[in-house]
Amino acid sequence: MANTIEIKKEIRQFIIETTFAPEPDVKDDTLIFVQGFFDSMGFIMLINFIAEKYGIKTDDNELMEENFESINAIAAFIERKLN
Amino acid sequence: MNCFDYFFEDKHNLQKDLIPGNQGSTSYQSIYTRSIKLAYYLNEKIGSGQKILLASQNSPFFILAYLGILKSGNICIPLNPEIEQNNIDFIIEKTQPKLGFFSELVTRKLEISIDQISETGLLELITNQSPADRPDENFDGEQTAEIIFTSGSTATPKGVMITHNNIIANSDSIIQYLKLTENDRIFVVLPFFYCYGQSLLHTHLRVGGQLVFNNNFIFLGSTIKNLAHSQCTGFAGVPSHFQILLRKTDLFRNSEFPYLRYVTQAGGKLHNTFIEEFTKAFPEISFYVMYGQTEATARLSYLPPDMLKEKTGSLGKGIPGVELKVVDSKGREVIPGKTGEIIAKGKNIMSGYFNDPEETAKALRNGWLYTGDLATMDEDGFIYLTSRKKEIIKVGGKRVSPKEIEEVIAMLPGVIDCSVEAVEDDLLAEALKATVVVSEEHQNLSAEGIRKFCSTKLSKYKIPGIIDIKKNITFSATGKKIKHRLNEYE
Repeated sequence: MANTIEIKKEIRQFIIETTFAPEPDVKDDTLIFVQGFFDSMGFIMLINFIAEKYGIKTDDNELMEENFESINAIAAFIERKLN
Repeated sequence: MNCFDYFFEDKHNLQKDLIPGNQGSTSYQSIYTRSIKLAYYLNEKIGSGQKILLASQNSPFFILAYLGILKSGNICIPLNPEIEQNNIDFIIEKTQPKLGFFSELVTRKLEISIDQISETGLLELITNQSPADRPDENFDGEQTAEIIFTSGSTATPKGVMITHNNIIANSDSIIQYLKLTENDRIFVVLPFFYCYGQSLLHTHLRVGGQLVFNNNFIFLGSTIKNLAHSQCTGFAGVPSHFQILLRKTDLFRNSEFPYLRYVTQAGGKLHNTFIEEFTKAFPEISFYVMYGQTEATARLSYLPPDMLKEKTGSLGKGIPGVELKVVDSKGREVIPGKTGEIIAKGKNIMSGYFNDPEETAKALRNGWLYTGDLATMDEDGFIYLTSRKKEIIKVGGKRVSPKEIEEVIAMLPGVIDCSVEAVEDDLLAEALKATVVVSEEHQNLSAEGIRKFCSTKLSKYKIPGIIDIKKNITFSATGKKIKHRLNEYE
């Protein structure tokens, strides 16, 4: 099972590849929606990525900003769902 | 009359918050006083009748800057905060603004050559400005209040000039048919830099109502929870908002909205099946189908909720003060059931397109606005849209001009042709698909390469999620055919 460091690395890689953001700008605690790296389309891609990569289905009531606002939040969400 | 004075008539000392939950910091009195201070500052600094850019998400900053600009008699040019460098350069070049109000998100990514005021700059400025009362008894309401740029049939946006009187007339009509009062509180997912969102701000200011912001609709869990708990009486959306709420999630249907009195839907046709689904799930909530254009400040027609069943599929009749006709190519009214163009007359019709007499002459003829939308009228005078020029795709509720994206992709060496169309998407309702025809010498051009190039020229939501590359030189002719067919389909 992937550990936290690996998950964060994979999420960061995905964000950089899909948004073309400069790597130093995307830190673990960067608020990716507030800072404008991700928009609604990016969010859809993120949900699909999480589903394909980790086999996680996000329920409607989990579509909350606090679950996806940063790499830290996304990794915590994934770990919660995997355990 | 200045529309600012119309909004705040009898509300100079109102302690109620415009945005609930702000403990008085967004009270009507506070907004009124601070807007006047800002207006005074602007008059001192640049005078009046000048253009001022405003780019921000919906926020107290937007509202304050917007109202201050209006009160000062200057002209506001509201912009999408996700605007690209080339587009803002174009607007600056075309309108020669003296100043801009920009949120941090905008200034961080764009290089802007004009004087600017940030969110913190605005607060400091207002704190330091001494109070001033500015009676404007002789203010001419025919002055331009704002210029809203819209992408239409061309990739180059047109600037719609809206006067103070336009805003007052349209707000009065909307308040009347939606029966808005000071007890109304609207859930705002629509941006204030477009006319539909702005009409929510205008009408609720006038009645002394309240606004609840939701700037990230796509977090559906949060959105539905907020809508249910914020005690909102109204919700306004474009078709994709309703499609997403009804199609993507059971949470919406299974939630209760005890305070929600009505919803409005405009910005394109929502299929009847969705309206039926909504009214079946929420029979106690009034559903208003509406139609309009930026050129009409916002609103032109509405269908009363009690006529929904009888006149299914209709966009209704003209709102109070607006006359609508369906005419043939010679301007004669067509008989019921026959297709013609919708034309409109009323005090809400724009004064013209900024610095574009040719386009203005096409749109405004003999006191009528030619909408470009084709429709039929039934014997009772109800209008049915037969085709709306599909020039705008709405990705998750955001407006995208396919032509703008086509132009960017066509800049790539080796691209012979490109068509951008909407494809159905489970969550976004509409998503973007680009069909790109590439010459034989450039067959190494990949979808990823195209997306990367787009990311340097376009905001993220405009980058097509699906890119279909036709790698064949002999396809160039066929490519044209594809585009032609797509256009016909649209």
